[in-house]
Amino acid sequence: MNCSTAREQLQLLLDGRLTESEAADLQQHLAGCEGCREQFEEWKALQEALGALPPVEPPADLLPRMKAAVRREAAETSQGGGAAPSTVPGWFRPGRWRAVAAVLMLGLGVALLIHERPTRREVASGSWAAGDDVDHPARTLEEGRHDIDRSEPKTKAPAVVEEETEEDRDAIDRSSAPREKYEEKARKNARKSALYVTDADAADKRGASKRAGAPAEEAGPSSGSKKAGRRVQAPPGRGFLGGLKRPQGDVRGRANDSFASDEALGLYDLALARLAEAEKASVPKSGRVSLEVKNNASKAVDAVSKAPRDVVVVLRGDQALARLKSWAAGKKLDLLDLPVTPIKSGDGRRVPSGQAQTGNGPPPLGGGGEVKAPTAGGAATNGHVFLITVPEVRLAALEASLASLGKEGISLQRLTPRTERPKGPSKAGTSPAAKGRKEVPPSAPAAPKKLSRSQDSKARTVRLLLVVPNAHR
Amino acid sequence: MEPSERPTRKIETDAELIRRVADEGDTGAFEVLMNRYHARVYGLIMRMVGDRERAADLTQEAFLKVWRALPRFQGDAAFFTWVYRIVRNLVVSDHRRQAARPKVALSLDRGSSAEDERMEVSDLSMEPSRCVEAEERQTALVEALNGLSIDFKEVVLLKDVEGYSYEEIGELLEVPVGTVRSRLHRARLELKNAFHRRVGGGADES
Repeated sequence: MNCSTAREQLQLLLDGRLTESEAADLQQHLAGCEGCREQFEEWKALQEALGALPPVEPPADLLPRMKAAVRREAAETSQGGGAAPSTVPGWFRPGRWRAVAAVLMLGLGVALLIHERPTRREVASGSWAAGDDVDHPARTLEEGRHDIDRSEPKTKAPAVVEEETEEDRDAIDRSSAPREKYEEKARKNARKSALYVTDADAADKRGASKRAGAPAEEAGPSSGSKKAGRRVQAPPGRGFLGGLKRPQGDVRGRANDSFASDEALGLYDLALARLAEAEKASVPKSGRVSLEVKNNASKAVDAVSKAPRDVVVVLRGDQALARLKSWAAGKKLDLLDLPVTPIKSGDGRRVPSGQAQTGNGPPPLGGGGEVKAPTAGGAATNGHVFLITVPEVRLAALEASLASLGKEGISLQRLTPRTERPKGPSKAGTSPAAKGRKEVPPSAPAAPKKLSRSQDSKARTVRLLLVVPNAHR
Repeated sequence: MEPSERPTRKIETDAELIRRVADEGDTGAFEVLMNRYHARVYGLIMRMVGDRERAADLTQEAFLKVWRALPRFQGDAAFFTWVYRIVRNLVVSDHRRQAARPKVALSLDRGSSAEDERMEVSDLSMEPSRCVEAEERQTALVEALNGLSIDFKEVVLLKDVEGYSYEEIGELLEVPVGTVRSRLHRARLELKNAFHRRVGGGADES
């Protein structure tokens, strides 16, 4: 290889766009050519510098301004006779489509319901159902949470519902404005009605009202569509994963592609297994942790560096990951990385929880031994799985920010069960009876909820698994 | 096993929200979409135009356009891809308008909060002397980037700042991957030369 060819290819090497043999040739040339090596270093430095540019944050007033502008416009156009913007062709106006949409969605809902069933069973028979397995991660997770709770005094939870802190409001606001309404509605219902008994129920209710659309005038003709839509949107077994998309080929295409379920579940099982091993080796200690997702390492590091966030998760590319990890390690942050490498097609077996380790002995935390993830479709997905802990009040903001990255296939799995624990999560950790998940009586959620929601969510932290498949190149 | 029934929590996907906006003119759903994307859109525009106020105005204009056009969104591209195309048209026409007038070179991160951001970044480096140097280099880089043509700037921003893949960029810009590669190559070359002229190191390459 001569220098001019080599220099043509330097950027491609950095971008990972060369084939293995091309890369090897180039590396060989670089090893013997100081001039090209220098060039390569310059390109690398440039790319790193670009990646390290500080993020640009929008002005605080931008979002409210935009919302007002949209509402204004919506009001203006609805005076003209339609709820939709004036540019909408007549045949697409909502009134005409509502009925059709309702029927279609109902059909789709039924179709998906049928389709989902095996998957749900699969999940149920998978790791989540393995609660009587003493090595199950759920148990170690409870213990892990205990550590977290020790570092966080729980005495400050306010007793009154209405006393939301600025922080809460902020979190809610960041996630979505309508959410505030739902929460308020849910709280009102909670006082009036015995239906509001558990977190899960509350979440359901909130979800339902959210899905149905906030504005009151939306109620009515499209209720059929809402019902069906709800089913479509919330396949219980797959939950989050079911709704998110995974990248394939030209990554950003096809808005409706779902995360391939087997693959996702494989990653998920793997994540749990890996988590179990990791936690056996060392239970990460943590204080309050919140999270933000950035698609670039420098932004992630930057976001982490801004108090009061304790953990930020990311990302694309190993370089980014390494940078964030070393930074987090320096700050003694709880960032548990669970690398996942899938097996290529042919090996479709599931890896039982706690038995996924293929190397010798427990792997070191944060980047050690790999776990093989079974994938059904043959499309191998590399990824990372993070264990994160967030105060429940921040969950919504987190989900919103994750959703905006949904196209990268990032997903979130809730590990902390929604089971009500009136005295706060640490109780579960310290009480021997609550050690194994199977020992949390299934009927527990039926106990009437006495605590206000905000009090409860303040005391609670939620453990989550963040699954981040690497972006396809 | 109770927890198995609800191991996760569902949030609405873009497609669901888009459907509500398109079918019902649901401003609430659109607000959720704005929550999700406004920072990303603003960040891109800001880096493209290099002026906070103009970026804010263009972001708002972009989302209003999105709101008006959403019922016609076919779902054949990802939502953000579609939004990006709208943004891009806006930025390009704004650029043409601006090109007519004399323009003061602006740092991408001019402004008080940008100063804060830079402090945060500096905070990550170890020694103070290195911070200063790093800051200077960063300024030089931003200036060099601002000096690129809009096509070049865009492709470098998408790849090296925002972290998109060649394929993703190809889809955003509606060009083949080969075009992305060659444009990126030329853009970086120009950027590197401009950057080195500013920091006074490295010879020009062609």
